[in-house]
Amino acid sequence: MAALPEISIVVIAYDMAREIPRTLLSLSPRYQHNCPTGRCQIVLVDNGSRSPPQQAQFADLGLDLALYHLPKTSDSPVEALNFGLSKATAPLIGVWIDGARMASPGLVDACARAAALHPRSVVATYNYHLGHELQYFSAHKGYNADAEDKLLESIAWPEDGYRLFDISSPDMIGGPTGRMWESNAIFLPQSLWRELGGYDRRFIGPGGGSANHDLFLRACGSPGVQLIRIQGEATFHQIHGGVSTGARFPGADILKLTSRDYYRRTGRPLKMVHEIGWLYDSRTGNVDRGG
Amino acid sequence: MNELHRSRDRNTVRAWLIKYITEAVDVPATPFPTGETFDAYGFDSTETVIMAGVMEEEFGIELEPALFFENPSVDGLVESLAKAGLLTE
Repeated sequence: MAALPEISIVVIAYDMAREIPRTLLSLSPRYQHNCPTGRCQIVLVDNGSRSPPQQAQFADLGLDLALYHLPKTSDSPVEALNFGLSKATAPLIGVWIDGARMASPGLVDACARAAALHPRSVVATYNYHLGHELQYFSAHKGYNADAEDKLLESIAWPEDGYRLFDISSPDMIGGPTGRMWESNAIFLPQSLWRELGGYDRRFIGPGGGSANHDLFLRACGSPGVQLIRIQGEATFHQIHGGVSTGARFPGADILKLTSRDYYRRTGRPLKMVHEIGWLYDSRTGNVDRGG
Repeated sequence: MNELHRSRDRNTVRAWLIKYITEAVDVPATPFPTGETFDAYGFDSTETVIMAGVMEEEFGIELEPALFFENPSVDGLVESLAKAGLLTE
């Protein structure tokens, strides 16, 4: 009988024919450091794409890939996320709510090493957008899939995945120790995912609305947990449909809608996580525990 | 106005803003510095936009984030909302 994987990663896709191949390549043994075949299981859940991905497309990546196709029943990925969580078998589970995010090459190993530091770890990675400006803004100035493809060609991706940092913009408030309100590649022990009940099914809006923020808040607020922020690794968002509106302050508009959605569903104002937690340096393995 | 929404008179909105902000950041409710800009007491632009989303739900109105950036104080915001015809007298 094959050994269980150490890590499962749930990836949600919807109409991402361009983006998913890069995302999966970035999670594959060909790209991830110290992540040979068998260490990490990928649970790819297609949430009703018009042209869904097929297993054969990824046959050469060396992935332990479980691919599921769900019918499209909602604009929200929450049901797909919880389905994917139910199929994840490893003791440590990471979730990509947005399958358009590529990883840096040491992300998976770093998250596993960081998670091992505490029995109830909440391992959070930082979010970047490909491009020299956050896509909320750049999408209004001509940044599109073609421009992004050229940008990736300019660093010969995937030769050195860390060069993604050279062509991307951090989507964070106040730098690496500033307030966080979500992580788009979050790793928790399987037992903690179960305790949280996965993602909250009340978040039924496109993209899940504030489901990911809610999950992060609930995880960080659970008793006895330890937030660990990964330094030196990140995920990088590839541009795809419906990034923003034509508003004057597009980033603000998205935040406002997220806030409104969260308040409507929970009756509480959206909060950010102020706790810095531990800082885990992926390159050195050093842990800054603060104080 | 939906009966589930708060009244949009000037006093109700002003009191709501003060209550929201004092619950979010460490600033005294009495006397509240209504003329000070939000960032003077640590209520930054992100918190401001989050508040805008909550206000939309509470008062049943649509708010342009620009209103909050151009007049970033309780007094300034109330005036901007009045000028935009979003308050009842």
